[in-house]
Amino acid sequence: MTALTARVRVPARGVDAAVEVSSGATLVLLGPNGSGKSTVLEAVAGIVPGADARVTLDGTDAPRAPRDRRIGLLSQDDALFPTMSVRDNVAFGPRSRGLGRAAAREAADAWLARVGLDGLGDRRPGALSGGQARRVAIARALAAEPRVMLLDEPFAGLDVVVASEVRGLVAGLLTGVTAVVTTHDALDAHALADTVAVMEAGSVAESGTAAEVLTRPRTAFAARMGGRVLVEGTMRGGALEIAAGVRVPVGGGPGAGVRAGVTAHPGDVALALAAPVSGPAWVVDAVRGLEPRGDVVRVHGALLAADVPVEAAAGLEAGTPVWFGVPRGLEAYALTSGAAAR
Amino acid sequence: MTGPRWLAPLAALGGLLVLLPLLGLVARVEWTDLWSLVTSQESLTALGLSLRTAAVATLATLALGVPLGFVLHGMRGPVRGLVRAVVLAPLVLPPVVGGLALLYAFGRRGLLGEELGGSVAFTTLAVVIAQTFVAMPFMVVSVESALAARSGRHEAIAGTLGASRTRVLTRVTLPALAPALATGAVLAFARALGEFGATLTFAGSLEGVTRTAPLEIYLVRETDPAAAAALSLVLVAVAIGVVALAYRPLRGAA
Amino acid sequence: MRGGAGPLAVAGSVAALALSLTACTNGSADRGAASLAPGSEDTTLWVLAAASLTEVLEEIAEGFEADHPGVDVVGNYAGSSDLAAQLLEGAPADVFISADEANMDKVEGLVAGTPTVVATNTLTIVVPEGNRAGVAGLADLADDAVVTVVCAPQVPCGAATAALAAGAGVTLSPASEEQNVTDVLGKVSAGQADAGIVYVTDVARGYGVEAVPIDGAGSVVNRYPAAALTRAAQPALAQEFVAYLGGPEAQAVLAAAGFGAP
Repeated sequence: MTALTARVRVPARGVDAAVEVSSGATLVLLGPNGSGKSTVLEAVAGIVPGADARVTLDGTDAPRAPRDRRIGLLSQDDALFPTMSVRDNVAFGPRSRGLGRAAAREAADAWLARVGLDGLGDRRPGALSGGQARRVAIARALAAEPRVMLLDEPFAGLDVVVASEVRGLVAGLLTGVTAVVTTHDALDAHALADTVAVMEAGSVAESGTAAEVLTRPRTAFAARMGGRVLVEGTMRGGALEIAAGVRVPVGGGPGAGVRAGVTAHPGDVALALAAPVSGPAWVVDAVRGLEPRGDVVRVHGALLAADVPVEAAAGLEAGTPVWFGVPRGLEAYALTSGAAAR
Repeated sequence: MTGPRWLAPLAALGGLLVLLPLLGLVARVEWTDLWSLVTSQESLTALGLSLRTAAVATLATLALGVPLGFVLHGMRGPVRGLVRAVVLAPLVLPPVVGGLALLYAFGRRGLLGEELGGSVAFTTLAVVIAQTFVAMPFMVVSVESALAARSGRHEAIAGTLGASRTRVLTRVTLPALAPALATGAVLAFARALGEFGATLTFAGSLEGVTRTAPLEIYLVRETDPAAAAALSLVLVAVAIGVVALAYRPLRGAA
Repeated sequence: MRGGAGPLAVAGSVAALALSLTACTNGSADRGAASLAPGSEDTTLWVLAAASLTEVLEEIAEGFEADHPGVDVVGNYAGSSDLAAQLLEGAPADVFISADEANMDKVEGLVAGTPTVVATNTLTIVVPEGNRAGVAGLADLADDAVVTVVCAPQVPCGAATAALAAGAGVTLSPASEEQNVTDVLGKVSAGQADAGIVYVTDVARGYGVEAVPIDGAGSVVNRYPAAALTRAAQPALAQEFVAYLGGPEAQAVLAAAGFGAP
């Protein structure tokens, strides 16, 4: 098992980021599309022309040539070799590392079995479903016995059932493997991450253990990527003051005068159209945008967001004044200024 | 998209321009003697020599044109345009000019000198050199455009899997280029088969050694127009067959 | 015999050739313009002639035109067999001059009267300047070490070469059998070949070549028949031109270029 550090600069794509994974752990790079996640992975793998990437494996500089780095990359497009059978695709890494033909085929078949594709070795990549192709790509990358495994949006483009199957498979296969996984989906982070780095516009906005970043985000951006809302304010008399005179009662938290926050899932935030009198702590805001999410609509305000049933959102539009109801008694935590690097 | 109607008569004219000469050729063929004319000893010798030299020239374009295509693809900026123009020049050069150029390079008084040039003069090797010279651009163009259409993704991934550059080339890139290589080879073969001017100027004309089918046609047309027409028909048939073969996979892929 | 001597003589004839080519280019351009101009009173005489006659015929035509004001002789030069083929395909012309009798025979049906031989030509060995292979005669060309280029037996110059070699009892082993004399000359000029066999009159056309006379070359004589054609637009003038070719002025020009008398 191998510890990885990498400092990646790709000026042409506006990327300047540092990542670190301890031996056998999984780092999830969480960020929206276009935030530079894929570029970071590809630069770590050594396949981005013109990238300035300083990569160390167990404290030693990684070789320059990708083929000597032994860093596996599962790319978003699978990139299976269309002219080879599935088995030969998976055997490609072992063969490249000098294994004999028979032994490589044996290893390939073993890997195909591990990813649940027993007996599909003779197929051509073109004859596979999306989920099967992804599994072959995973098997091919792991069969090369990489010291570090990089997975770029491993569940993107798959339907939900297949995605959850593959997610389960990957979670199992990555046990004990040093890995970096990119995703824009908080679920993947929760499922796979030991540590999380949130990427925004080419750099890491916030990083830490999965528990820290996902449950106690220090920036609104990190909170949003983790599927939560962050209510920021200053501690005043046992409550969090988010604006002059607007206070949310919290349970515990740092001392008076400290910048602090509480987070909640938008599903736990209430929404009201008229000034309410009781229940949670109400914060007045205005609608900024409506985000359909299946059977609910996430109503985004300037400060908060709430999930409401589709029919309840029907009368809302940008600018509609609303009240968000934050549950009382959430635990507040200090927002250390250094991490809020936005 | 079919375009405006006035294109049709022009298209018909264009078609006629190609079709009429072919029909004229067919009209001149003496069908009753066709078989004996085509299978005469001189015809068979010339056809056999043509097929052999064109096959060797095609292999040579693969061995040399493919690397050229790769190198050209790897170049950037104005140098690339310049090198491409030079490499593709034989495609547009008048055949006699090509022959003279070959003469000045590989002839007995050419750049390579008396010793080397003298050993090439009037040999079958000279025919192959002339054919390779004119046919190679087809392979280079074919390979370069096929490479340009590739993202390089598969090659990059193959690298991360531990493959050496040679292994990436032989196992990933070349198999993917197979259709382009086939098209290039077929066109190069056809061009080599039809090579006339450079061969005449550079290699000479001797039965069984340097007199390929086009040279034989040119020669017998003086004394035996029927034999010339018969042999021409064979070359036309080969040309049409070869071109049909070359463009079929492209249409299939589109 | 022009071009048969040393390098100096060859250089001289090349210069003369260049001059006559220039003259002929200008001349034909003028004539072309004149014949195209509407209302032109010039009478045009179309002559199809063997390519080897190109330079001499331009000179002869000038003399003929001087004697016949208002007459414009337009020469069309190509290989004799090509010209014969063109005539058989119906090309319009007044006079045909072939480089051999075989091609004249091909167009027999188109000839008005009997063809007249107006010139003869014999073969010679031609070698690159300096004669590095040391070729002294026909017998040397049987040596495989001497790279020899000849005309293919299928074409007139090749048939003549074969006849001459057979008569001399020499078995040639050519490295290449070319389509025509020009290609033979080209291979020798370029130094690709050590020796070639061409007509005496061709030596002057070669660059950097010299002639090595063949003993007994006179045993194989190539004849140039000329004839007026039945479809001539100017039948009388055509006959007159053929007669002029046999006359002293034309014969002097032909002799100067190395052609033999009829």
